[in-house]
Amino acid sequence: MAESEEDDLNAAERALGTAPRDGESAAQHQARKGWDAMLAPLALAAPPAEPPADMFARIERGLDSGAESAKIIHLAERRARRWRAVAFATSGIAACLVVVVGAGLIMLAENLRITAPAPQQSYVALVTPEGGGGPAMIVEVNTTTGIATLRALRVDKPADRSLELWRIPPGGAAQSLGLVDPGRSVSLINAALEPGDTLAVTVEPPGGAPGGVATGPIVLSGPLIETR
Amino acid sequence: MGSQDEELSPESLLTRVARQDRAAYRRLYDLSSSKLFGVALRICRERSLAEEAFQEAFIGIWRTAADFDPLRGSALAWMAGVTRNRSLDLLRKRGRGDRPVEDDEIEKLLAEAGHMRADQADLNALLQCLERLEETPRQAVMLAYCAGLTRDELAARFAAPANTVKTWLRRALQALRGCLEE
Repeated sequence: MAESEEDDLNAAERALGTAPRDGESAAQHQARKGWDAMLAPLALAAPPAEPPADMFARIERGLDSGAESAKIIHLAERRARRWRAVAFATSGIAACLVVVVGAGLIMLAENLRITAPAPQQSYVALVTPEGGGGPAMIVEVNTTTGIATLRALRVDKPADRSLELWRIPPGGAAQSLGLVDPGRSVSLINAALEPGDTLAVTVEPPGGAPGGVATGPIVLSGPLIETR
Repeated sequence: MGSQDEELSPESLLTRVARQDRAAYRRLYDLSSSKLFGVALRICRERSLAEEAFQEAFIGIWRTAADFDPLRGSALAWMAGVTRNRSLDLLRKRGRGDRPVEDDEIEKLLAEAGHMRADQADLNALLQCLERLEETPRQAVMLAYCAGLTRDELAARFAAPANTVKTWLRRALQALRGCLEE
């Protein structure tokens, strides 16, 4: 992954904590990981201290309250990881495209022979908080029905602000997909989404970005990937 | 090096946690909670905030265990890094300007790090590389990472312009990486 020295040093300072981590893009988050790992042993250099006796029970309660969403996340992550493993194994986006197109052709050929139902495809995006952490939102796209389902799991909305969802095609300008409400699931019909698009959520003035151009910081983002 | 020991190593427990193994999670907690709570307490410097940060960090470890890469370091260091970052985020969110870091903090940090180095190989390597830095950049890196000082706070402490501090930090981080890659 080619990156400039300036990007690398900015990532180093975000890991150190002398540059803010809020509003980090997915690529910036990735760039920080190596620095995080390098500095992490230093975090260990603190004298041990006993947490309260009921701490593990508190942690488990916290886990269970998010268990339902965690289950969905886990499932989606497993699917996404499987896809990514294939992507890495075939090294590079061009190779991935060959696999996708190749697989499509094989399916097509099989359909011609045995007239099976049209292959159903779906894409998923795990939209994660900037600065790390598990997915806060899952977007699933069923290409057969053309419906994108958006599940907002753990999204904090600042008071007096709206959260807006964007589709950012590779190398293209962001297009608004509408407003997002924490905890609400929404279906978008005929959303033109393609694998490789990035989905991002920004904080905007009430009612959404004026003029259809994002103005606020990106709080969540994630790539849309093919799952089957 | 019995197989029993390997099964109970933080690395193997964390790998099981990534597969949502609650029993391994409990074991990992027993094994690491006092170390990790110490990490949270040092950054937060206040018990109730440290408890909140540690709780969130340990839940975060359950959710992101699959991100742990054994090639990049030990499981304990990774968990300590997660706890430190979560603590710092929480501390900054709540505002911490009213609790300045004491002047003897740096000596305390270095002394504590010295005590820990024997049983943590990755910490030992990092400290050896830190020792190769000049004193001021080394202190600046330690205060930023371990005590959460910002660039401006470091500038005030070392009576240097913020841009100079930025240059020190960047050079120091590059030198550290170079040293660790040797």
